[in-house]
Amino acid sequence: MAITEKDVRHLAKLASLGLDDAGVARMARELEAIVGYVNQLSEVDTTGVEPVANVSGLANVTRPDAAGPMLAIDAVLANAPARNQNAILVPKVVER
Amino acid sequence: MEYEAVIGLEVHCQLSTVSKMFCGATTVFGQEPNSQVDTLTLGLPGTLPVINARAVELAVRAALALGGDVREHSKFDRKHYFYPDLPKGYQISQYDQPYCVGGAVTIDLADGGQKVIKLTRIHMEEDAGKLIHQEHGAWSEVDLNRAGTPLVEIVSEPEIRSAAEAYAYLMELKRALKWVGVSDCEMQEGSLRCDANVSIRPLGQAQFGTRVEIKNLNSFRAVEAAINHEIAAQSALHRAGRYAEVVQVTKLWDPDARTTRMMRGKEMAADYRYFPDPDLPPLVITAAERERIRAAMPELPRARQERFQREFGFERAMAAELTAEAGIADYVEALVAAGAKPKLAGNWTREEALRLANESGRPLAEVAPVAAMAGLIALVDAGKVARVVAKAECAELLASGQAPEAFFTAKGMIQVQDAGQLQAWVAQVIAGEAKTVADIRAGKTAAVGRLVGATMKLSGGKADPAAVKAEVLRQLGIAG
Repeated sequence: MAITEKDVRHLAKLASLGLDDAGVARMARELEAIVGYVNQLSEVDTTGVEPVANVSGLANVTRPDAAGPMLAIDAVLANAPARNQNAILVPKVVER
Repeated sequence: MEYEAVIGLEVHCQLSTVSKMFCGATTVFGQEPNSQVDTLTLGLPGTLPVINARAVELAVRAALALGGDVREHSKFDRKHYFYPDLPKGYQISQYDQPYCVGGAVTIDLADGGQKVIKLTRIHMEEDAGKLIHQEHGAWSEVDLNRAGTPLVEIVSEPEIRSAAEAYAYLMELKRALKWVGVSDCEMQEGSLRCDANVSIRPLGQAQFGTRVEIKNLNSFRAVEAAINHEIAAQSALHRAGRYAEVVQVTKLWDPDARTTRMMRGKEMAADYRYFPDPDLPPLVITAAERERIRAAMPELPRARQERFQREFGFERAMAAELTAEAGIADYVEALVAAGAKPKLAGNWTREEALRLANESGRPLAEVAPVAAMAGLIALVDAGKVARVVAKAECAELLASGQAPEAFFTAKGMIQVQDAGQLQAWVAQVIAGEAKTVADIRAGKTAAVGRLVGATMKLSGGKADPAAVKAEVLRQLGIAG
């Protein structure tokens, strides 16, 4: 399964990652190896096997609508790059 | 050339739960930023989502209220995008197996007719956090309180043909969703949000035009204004032979400038790389569960509106107004049950009880107790209290907590039924209003009202205006 440099640039854009040309070439090689490895699954004959989206065998794992424990605001903001009072600050982003 | 608009709406509605869709963090509006956040909301490693059973129940209620087909099997998928309002890097949504397919919203048209707008689907998902972009600074502020709040997204077929129809559709949707307790549907608070897909085509053309998506529509009037603006812009380009300039883009509505601005073009079209969320087993809503929820549903607002028209003889506008909320409709029916004639119950609710409730911000039955209001209506209907007097005294009566008859008796406002007294009052007024009488005899029959008014004043409001009018006409020798 070929991963092109165009694919990598598209993915990098979606993931908001800055990659230089060398990085794009390296990621294309590495992603191709990963996808190729996973792609071995396509060699399995699945004729007559129902597709499943989940293999747990479970359904309807739910909880009652009740308030649970929450974090203190300082804990929520502990990993924030910057804060303004209790809001997390990030470099201004355009609407999408 | 005449154009026809083709509009589809995507409405996001927050479900009225205590906790979030997949965790126990709370969902109260207007709290301190980032005060309703837990480890799952932050998307920290090792956390796992668990479905909120109440959110599913409310979603099913929404689907049943809108006549949708609730599917037995559905699943949750990850919708990927990188943005600071979404710590996990994906939103949990439903992609190719939504829990509800189809449905419809019936709207009233200005010409008196009705129109059915079909729904494509309804699916459950979690909300993102809120971003506030600093106007002058270089930063955006992130508040994750809203992140993970349960939503249903209701997608209409492109069957809406004007901004007015879009407005009516949203009002009807809001009425139904509030009615069954699914959501409070406050657009200002963001619990109901709307995106519009708008295209135009020359009238009679079957093929759809190029659609433009408009976001950031945060009031019903904004939806109407933005759609009208977009229809006008696309029509102008078509007329000028420049329709090719209409391209499939996403725009943002700017309510202050009353215009749209570009958000993203076609080349940035979303690529969400959906796949089934492995952390969530599939959702099964059995027929038994669905029917249990259906059995607990109230009579729906449109059915009730039509029943009010049929059983109570209300005009459509009045029936719609009195079924705008379940509480109003219940109030009218309580007045009728207490003996009020339906038309009178409707009118007094509309003209007095609703006004008092709106002014005070208190519930109808509290600001205008059913027993007192029904008693007041009965006094007017029996001719014991003049309608104008009853209206003027209504607020005071209801606030006093007194029985209506005792209240009006104490104020000396029970109408005098004595014919001799009435004749004397009218004779006295006629004697003192020679000019008015001359006007009437000269053909200005509208001046009769002045004599009726003067008699009412003389009687201290105790005369029955209809009887006064008849007596005035009788004494002047004019046929009534």
